[in-house]
Amino acid sequence: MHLTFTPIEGKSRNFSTLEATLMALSLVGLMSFVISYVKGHETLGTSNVIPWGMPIVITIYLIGLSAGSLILSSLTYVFKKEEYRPISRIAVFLAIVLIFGAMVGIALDLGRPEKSWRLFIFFALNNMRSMFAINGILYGGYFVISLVYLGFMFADKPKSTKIMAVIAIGWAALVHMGTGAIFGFIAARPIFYSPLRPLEFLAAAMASGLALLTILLVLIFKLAKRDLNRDIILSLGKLLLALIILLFIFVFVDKLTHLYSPHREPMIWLLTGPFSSIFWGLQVGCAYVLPTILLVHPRYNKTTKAVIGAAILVVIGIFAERFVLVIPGAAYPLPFYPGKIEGIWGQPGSFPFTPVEIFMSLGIFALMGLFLILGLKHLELLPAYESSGQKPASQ
Amino acid sequence: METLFRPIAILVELAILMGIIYSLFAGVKLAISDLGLKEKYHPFVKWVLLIMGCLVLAFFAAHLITFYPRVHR
Repeated sequence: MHLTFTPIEGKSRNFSTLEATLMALSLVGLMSFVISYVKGHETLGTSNVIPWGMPIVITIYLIGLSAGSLILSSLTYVFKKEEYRPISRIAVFLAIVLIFGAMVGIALDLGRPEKSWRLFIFFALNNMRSMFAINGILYGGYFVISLVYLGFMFADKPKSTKIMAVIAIGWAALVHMGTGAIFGFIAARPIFYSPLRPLEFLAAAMASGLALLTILLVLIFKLAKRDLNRDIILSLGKLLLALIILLFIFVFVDKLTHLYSPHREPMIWLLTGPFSSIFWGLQVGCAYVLPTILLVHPRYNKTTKAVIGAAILVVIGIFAERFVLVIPGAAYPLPFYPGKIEGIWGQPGSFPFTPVEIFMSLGIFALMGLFLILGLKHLELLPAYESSGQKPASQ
Repeated sequence: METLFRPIAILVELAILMGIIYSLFAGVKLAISDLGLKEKYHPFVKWVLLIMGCLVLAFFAAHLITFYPRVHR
């Protein structure tokens, strides 16, 4: 299949409005960052009990989206799925934008971003047995690999692109498994601790990355008035279903294992406590149950609308999954006194949403949106036409 | 007088720092061109550097507001 990639024109009034809105939201996010820096982390709703707030939730979510998107881009180059070639460039570019957003999230969460260089002084300032230090290598390498991978795509060098795709797929898997290991290896936090966490993170990354890619593809191709093969969306829907089932199995086994005696209290607290509505309603409902129904039901599973609906639910549900891991995981008291629920303050922590945190989070998403539309305007990311000439996705 | 001096000093330092960052980014742009990046990609690189510049400006402003020494008599 021969494809010509071109930038979008980006001269319409709607495009300019979108650009201006994203710039304004990014500025609001920057202002919120300035407030959080000057006034301290208490403006972000975090405390000594829950030290990780929304920036960390967003960061691990974006790393997952990015890794998933990059892995899917390699379907063409590694698994020879030529039908996905039209979406390969946008998938890699999206992966770069998302990992950039994740790095901004980490920098904001550090509180003193000027010290972030210390994260990259491996073996000298870092404890290399820490998953944080190992992840520094993974994230840095991932960013460079993705840029080189996209560079080879633009340079139209199929051999080099294929080699980079193989490296990228392996590295992306390591990146998200490494992120999962940060949580999974913390034995002192019962809700975090699980040997399954890296695999669960990888499955969640692929499912959410695929879901976001599907939504953006339909939206971008529609707004850019370009045809997208309907079969691509339907086949992405089938892949999404498989990944949702895989993710559900990991989560189910993980929760079931944690429910086994004698250390079952933290899991019972998670499933029935103050965060249970988010777990059951958003994580289980939006990430697993509803999308599965949409993608399995014979009445809906042949329509692109059902795939898009399922993808939207998965994107929301997996964000909730990240939230339900990070915040309750930190809120549950450390087991200083076995058999009792006692933390450093004697009871589970609470996490209020603050305006500064909400605007800062919106700013991160707006900044990524801005990069994405600027990329669409200036880089050859979208196919100008499809030679197979099949039905567009909007039908 | 002291309260007026501090914001002015911060603004001057901000201008100096942004001048340094501008020079660094101009160097990055030249280096990218030397490495063979095609002309058609230059507007995108310009936008990326502009956005990065805004991020750096916000950081410097926050840092100087927080840590710039206060004048006491």
